[in-house]
Amino acid sequence: MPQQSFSELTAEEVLLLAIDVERSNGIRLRTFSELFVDYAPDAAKLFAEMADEEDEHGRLLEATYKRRFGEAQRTVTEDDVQEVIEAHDLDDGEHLVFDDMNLRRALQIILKAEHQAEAFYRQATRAASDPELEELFRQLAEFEDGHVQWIETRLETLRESA
Amino acid sequence: MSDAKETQKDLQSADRDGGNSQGAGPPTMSVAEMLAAARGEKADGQQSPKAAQSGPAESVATPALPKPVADRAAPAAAAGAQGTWRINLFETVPLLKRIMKLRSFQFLVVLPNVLVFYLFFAVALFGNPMGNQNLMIMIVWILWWFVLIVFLVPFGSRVWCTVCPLPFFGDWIQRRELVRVRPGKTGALKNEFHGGTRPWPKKLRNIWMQNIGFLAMALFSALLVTRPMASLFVFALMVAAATIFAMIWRLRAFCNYLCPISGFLSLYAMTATLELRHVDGDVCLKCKDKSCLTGSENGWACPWGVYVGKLDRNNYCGLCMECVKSCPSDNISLFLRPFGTDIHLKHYDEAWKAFIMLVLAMVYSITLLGPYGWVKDLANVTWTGNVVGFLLYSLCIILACLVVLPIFHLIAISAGRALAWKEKLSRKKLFIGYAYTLVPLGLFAWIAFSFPLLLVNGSYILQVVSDPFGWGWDLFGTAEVPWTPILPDIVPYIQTVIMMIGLLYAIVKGYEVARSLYQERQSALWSFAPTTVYLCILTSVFLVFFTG
Repeated sequence: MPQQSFSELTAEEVLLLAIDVERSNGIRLRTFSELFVDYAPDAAKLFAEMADEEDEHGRLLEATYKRRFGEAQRTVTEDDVQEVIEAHDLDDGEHLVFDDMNLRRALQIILKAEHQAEAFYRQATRAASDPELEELFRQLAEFEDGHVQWIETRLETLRESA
Repeated sequence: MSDAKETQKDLQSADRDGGNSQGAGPPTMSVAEMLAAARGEKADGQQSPKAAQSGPAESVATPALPKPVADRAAPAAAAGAQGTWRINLFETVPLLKRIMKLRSFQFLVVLPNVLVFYLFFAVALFGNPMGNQNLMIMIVWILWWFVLIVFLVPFGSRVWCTVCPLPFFGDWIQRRELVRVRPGKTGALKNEFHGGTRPWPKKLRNIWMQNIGFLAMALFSALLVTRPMASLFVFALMVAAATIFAMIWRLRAFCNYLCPISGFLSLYAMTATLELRHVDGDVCLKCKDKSCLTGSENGWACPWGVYVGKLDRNNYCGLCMECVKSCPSDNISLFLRPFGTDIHLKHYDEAWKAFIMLVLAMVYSITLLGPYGWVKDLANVTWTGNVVGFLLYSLCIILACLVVLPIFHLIAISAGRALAWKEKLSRKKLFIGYAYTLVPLGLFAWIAFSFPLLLVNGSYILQVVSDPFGWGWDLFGTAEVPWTPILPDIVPYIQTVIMMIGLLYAIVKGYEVARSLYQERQSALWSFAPTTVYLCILTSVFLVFFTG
């Protein structure tokens, strides 16, 4: 399937995409957790928790889709769209060479992706011409905002304890 | 995860419209309501504080169609793109890509090197014990060293690591394969690994051991280049260490943290005109498995522990090309780029590596090429038996590497920091940042050292190649070629030109570092001025030794 622009997607496709984004992030975060379990256990634990969280959100979105559109007959994956919506990624190519991963850095990595996702959906909300899509984007943005708040709270707690 | 659960509740309560979705289709519930229903809870219609604050003011300013908001700067940085050109070699030369993707590629290039390496062992054991009449000494310390410094590092980055014979047995122990890849699961890695699976100790995750190793080797340089058995001992020790490390610790712990040659290459590979990087940063972002790092059914996990998706410098990429094979998106390539594109040192150990290497370039020039007989006598402890003299010589070198040059550096950056008083940066940042200037200067100092080494001793190579064991053979008819130094009179001029080029690069690249550290151009200029003076002084010292 040739890559589409996000703005060309229907509400159904957006929801399918959001499900894939959550699932994919679950896989990524679980990989990070396994990578750092021997080096930075607290960061690995956080990655694992967030992976569970992303999986849970994926399931919630699936249920939403089912109620709204019935059984999914197809998928829309991250690779089907040109844009990057939310993709957790390491922030340095040499994390495993040097021992520089820690809880704070892990939180910052996660926060960055969540911020990006929230900003993306908010921007999409403003650009949407279809009211249904606009509503969906707004709610997805708030969905991501929940993560942002949670991460920011943990970062703040970490700062205070330091 | 109770906080997260609370957050989910917030999410559910963030539905402001109470299910007034007006879109087409049967559902009348909002997404948040449906999410809440799916969780068996009820949305209460309250806004989270953050959601209440959000809206237009918090939205991205441009009310245009959504654009990818993923980190665009990172791929640019990872591409080494500070406004510089790059040529994708896999795109330009597709044959190169096909070769690199061959599973047998590394084995085919390492195998001849392994055979030659062990031939050298035989030569060291059974050949002529005189350094300048021994194939191992002449090829390794004269020809290989020259080729490595003058060509391989500046133009090929760590391409030597691609063909290095030292980790051959270690890799085989860990992979139990010479060519094929074994899919599987070893921790986070998606390959079946054997041998050592322990993580390298946390406190040793730096290159201090490499620094000390290279320094130690340098102290015995006079011995290494004159006694084949000494070189044999060092190489055998390195092979043993690489193998034992692979049996205890995961991946290439020896290469990453102990190998002194790897340390040398990691520093100067920053200047190289070749880099391995991702092609499209977004593809790496979207990649779920991070196969370049964790491996796949097509390639082994990165032996160096490097993630190409965010790789922004050459230091720790050994160019084994496994990531080229394992990437499911064909998103990794080799690129040509300008000299000295990576300009950021990141840690103190890397800064000290730069100090050690520069001082040692000077020490080698003085000890091995200089006219100072008494220095050679101090270094040649096995010939002279002057242990006290050797200890003094060693102490001077250690102090110069670890204390004296760093103090001069500290003085220079402190002066610069004071001059650029309008924009205060931490001393640490400046110390590490400006230590990069010693990378191009050091590389050119090593090149300047290596030229006369080859020009003066090159004729010995012709002799030993023809008679590798010193048994009176004459395989190529060159065994009796007389010792003929090439262009000895113009060597100092060549060295002067090389050092001046090194100084030029050090200043130009140093200023780039300064501009990356300071907001204001004026501050960058003032801050870098004392370092420029100190670079000029260092170069002058080299020139005195080279031309004196």
